[in-house]
Amino acid sequence: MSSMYEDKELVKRTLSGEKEAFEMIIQKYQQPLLNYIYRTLGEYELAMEFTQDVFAKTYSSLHSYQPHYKFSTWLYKIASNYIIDYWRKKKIDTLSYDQHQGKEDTLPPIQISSKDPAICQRYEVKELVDKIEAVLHKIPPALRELFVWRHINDFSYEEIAEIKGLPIGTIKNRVFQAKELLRKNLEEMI
Amino acid sequence: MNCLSIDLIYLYLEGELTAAEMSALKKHLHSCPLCQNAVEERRLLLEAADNIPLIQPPPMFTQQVMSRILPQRISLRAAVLAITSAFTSAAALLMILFLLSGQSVANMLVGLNHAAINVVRNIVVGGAKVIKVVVLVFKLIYQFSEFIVEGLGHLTGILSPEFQVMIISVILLSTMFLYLVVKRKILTGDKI
Repeated sequence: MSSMYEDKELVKRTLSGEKEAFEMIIQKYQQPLLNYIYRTLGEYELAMEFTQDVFAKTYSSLHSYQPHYKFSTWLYKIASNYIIDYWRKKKIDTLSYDQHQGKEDTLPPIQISSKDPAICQRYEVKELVDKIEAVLHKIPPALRELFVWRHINDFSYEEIAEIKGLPIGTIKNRVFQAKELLRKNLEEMI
Repeated sequence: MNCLSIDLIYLYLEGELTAAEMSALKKHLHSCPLCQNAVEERRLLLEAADNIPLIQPPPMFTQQVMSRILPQRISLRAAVLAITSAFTSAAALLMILFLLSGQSVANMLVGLNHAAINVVRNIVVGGAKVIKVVVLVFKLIYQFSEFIVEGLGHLTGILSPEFQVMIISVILLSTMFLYLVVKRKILTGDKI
């Protein structure tokens, strides 16, 4: 049974009153969802609370789920909107990326600097992982979210584009920018 | 070919280039140490990014979520079920009683009507009395608290802050002393 079909079946069973079916949905998505929220927000306790909130919201909105949608896309869309609402309430600048929907990003093109310091000569991969974890919060939230989906949740660009409702090219561009900003922050640590 | 752009490097590292683009890029890389270095930097960055450890949810996470989701549903269902079964049981009991008493259906309905009226009347009268008592109790509590607050207000106006602290300390110490004495008496089995 494919994962997509399995999810839809679980949703159907939940809606018919079988609570065990929703427990299976939670068990399946709790780890990736918690990691997405935790890495995007950077606070463990808050991430735990938000993950529970997102599952509760998903449960209460289940009747409005359209089966032609991929369930995981729908779930992450709920989570992403929940986080964006939180950022807006906290007046955290999300760079208004979503306002550019459908347009090409107007951010400056990235060029290779001749002063590229050799991070690879300074750190082992293991060390670099710790450094990335330490500077991840320094990149803009909207870019951080995409980076987390791509590199922690292992989503394809197509999946991310579907969740955000943006063209694949835009998503790729933003993920590359997130990585470059991370690299710049790592440079500053040297 | 000019030096590589950053997005081209990432597309290359993520295997998103066409065969022709890949070939041109490799050719350039072969002759450009600057781009080689840039590619190596990003390769390491991607490798590290893909190795960021995943955190584990706590063992009871699913149960925690379910307990947040389900209470309202269960309680609503249970409440409806309880009310329905209570009414059904009461109706069945009344039917049995009237049937056992040997009365006709008409008498039974009249009796049921009288009983229902009596029940409603008792509920209304009883409810009114309870409300009256509750209002009275609240009035008393309110007046008493007003009296206490007013009294304390006067007292604090008369006494100096130092004297107030001394009185509070004496009261606290006396209470603690009394508590300890009583506790000791109880433990040793002495009469208070």
